[in-house]
Amino acid sequence: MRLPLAAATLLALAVFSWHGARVAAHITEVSPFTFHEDVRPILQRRCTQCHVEGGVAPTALVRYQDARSQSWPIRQALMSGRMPPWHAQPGAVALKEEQALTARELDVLMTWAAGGTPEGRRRARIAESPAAGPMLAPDVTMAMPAAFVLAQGVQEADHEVVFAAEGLRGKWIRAVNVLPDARAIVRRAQISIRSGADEQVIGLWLPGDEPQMLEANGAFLMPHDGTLVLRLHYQRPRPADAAAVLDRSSVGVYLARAPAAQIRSLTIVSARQLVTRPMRAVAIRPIAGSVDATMRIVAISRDGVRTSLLRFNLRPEWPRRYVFAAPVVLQPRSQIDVSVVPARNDLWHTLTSPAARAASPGIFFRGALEVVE
Amino acid sequence: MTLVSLVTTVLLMQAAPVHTTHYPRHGGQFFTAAGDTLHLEVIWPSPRVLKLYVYDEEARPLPLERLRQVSGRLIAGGVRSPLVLREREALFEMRLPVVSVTTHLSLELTPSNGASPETFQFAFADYTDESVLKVAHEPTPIPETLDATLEALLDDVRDADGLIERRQSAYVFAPAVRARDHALALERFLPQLGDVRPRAEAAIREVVRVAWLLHIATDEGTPAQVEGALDELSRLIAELVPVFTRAAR
Repeated sequence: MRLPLAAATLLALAVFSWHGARVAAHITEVSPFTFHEDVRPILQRRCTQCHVEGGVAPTALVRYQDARSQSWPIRQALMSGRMPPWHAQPGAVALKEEQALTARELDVLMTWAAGGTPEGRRRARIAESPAAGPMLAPDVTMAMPAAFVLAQGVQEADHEVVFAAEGLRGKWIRAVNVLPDARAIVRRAQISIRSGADEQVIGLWLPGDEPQMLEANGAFLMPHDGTLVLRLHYQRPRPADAAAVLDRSSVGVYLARAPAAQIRSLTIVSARQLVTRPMRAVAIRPIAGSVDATMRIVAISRDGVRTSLLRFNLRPEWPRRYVFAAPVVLQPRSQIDVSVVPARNDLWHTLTSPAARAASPGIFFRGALEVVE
Repeated sequence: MTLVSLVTTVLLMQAAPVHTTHYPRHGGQFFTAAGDTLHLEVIWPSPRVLKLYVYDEEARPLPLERLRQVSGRLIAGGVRSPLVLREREALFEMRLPVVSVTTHLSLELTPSNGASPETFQFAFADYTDESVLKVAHEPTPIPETLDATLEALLDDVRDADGLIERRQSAYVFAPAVRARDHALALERFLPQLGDVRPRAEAAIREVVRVAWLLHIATDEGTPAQVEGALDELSRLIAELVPVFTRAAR
């Protein structure tokens, strides 16, 4: 039987399009892990501080329907290493309050997201709110003297507040924390001590963070002319949210009970630097650098023994201080070596958008090695 | 809300159907047929023979009595060849004329007695290596010792390299899955590691992450992207192995 040309063409198109829709090139596995039994506990531990209704993240991951609809973004975020926002690997020294997923947690989430997102049986009710652990109460709490208004239609803004903080002068500050008021828009914060023209960063804050206590009895002495400076970055989780929002967050201050060891910040850059006095490193705080690169920080003893301190990728929107679980002793004439290696950590990004890597800003790093002497 | 949108909403709210695997078990091309109730795998192992495996909706081999209801023909180079059921092997064979390996082929398949025929058009880049995926569906064998597990991880990278060298990057997911399993199996040895445990845990996590990346890239990426992911996995494994071996000494 002969078909007219137009009919034959239509048939051919139909066959091809039908065939194209049915070719099953993907390689999905059936997930043995279910939402209620395996996935939800991980999300509650790791994600729902932000990914909750009213949180800073644009999507909630609390209910099954929420998480299921996000299975593809979850896969992307995990494979790229973009989420959870912890972009460091410990060196020879463990890091405090590491927020990375374990390998097993990562595999459970990936298998579930790629494997049909099965729901499973509901377990006994788990609190829907973010897992708020029993956070230590601060010794001093200072609320912003006036509310900041994120005006209607404004997507993000920075705001600086200076606290006179007379009551803190002459005292040792072990840690600081931010107690957000308008949780959905308080995206990150930096807290510093200002004295004359000098300013020392004493804390960085991201949603869900616990106050970071440094080791080696380290603390920051508030000078007698010192003020406390809070810099907040506000950002709406969804561009569609346009109404004005008021925020009056607070700073929590944790004081040392006894005289402590002064924490100093040594600037480190992408080069090798000599240590001239004996000291103990307690944390590394990246300040600026190449985004598309891996920073490796190594201590080299005067005998040439190399001790890896930290490896991380800089994510400016997630500023962090990486605190060592134990202080690292640095002898005079040892060196701190910072190398910056173009990273392949964004490999998934390149898979989805090869052009995105085309423009590299150059390779550099600047940070602070926080030490006590 | 219209009835149609209501039904659609209700369907979307139901639990996702458990999705079956689409691994081509014999290294061939995989299709769904008969309204997703059948899966087909076509392989071209030698110049004059094409083979067809037919699976059920959960990708299990179709029972013989059901296979007997399947009929069809292959059209290659203008020559039509009927599907011949090889009952002992539970597959269909089709004879081909002398055609080049990249010839477009057309399979007309009638999935059951009285059903309408369905047409599948496809081409191969090369003859199928049936041995590639023999173990892909088996649980990954996990060695008992640390040294053997580390060696298995290195083997996974070598296997993946070999597949790419043979231009079979579409099957790299198999060693990627094994690398993930071998990396997770290393967790058993973490208590032996002492001070380097945090570093080893992070290294395992990175291997698992990039093994998944390679797995997905195999499915959805270009050959160059698969190679990029494999390079990354190879680098990470090369860094992970000494963390364990030094600590174990």
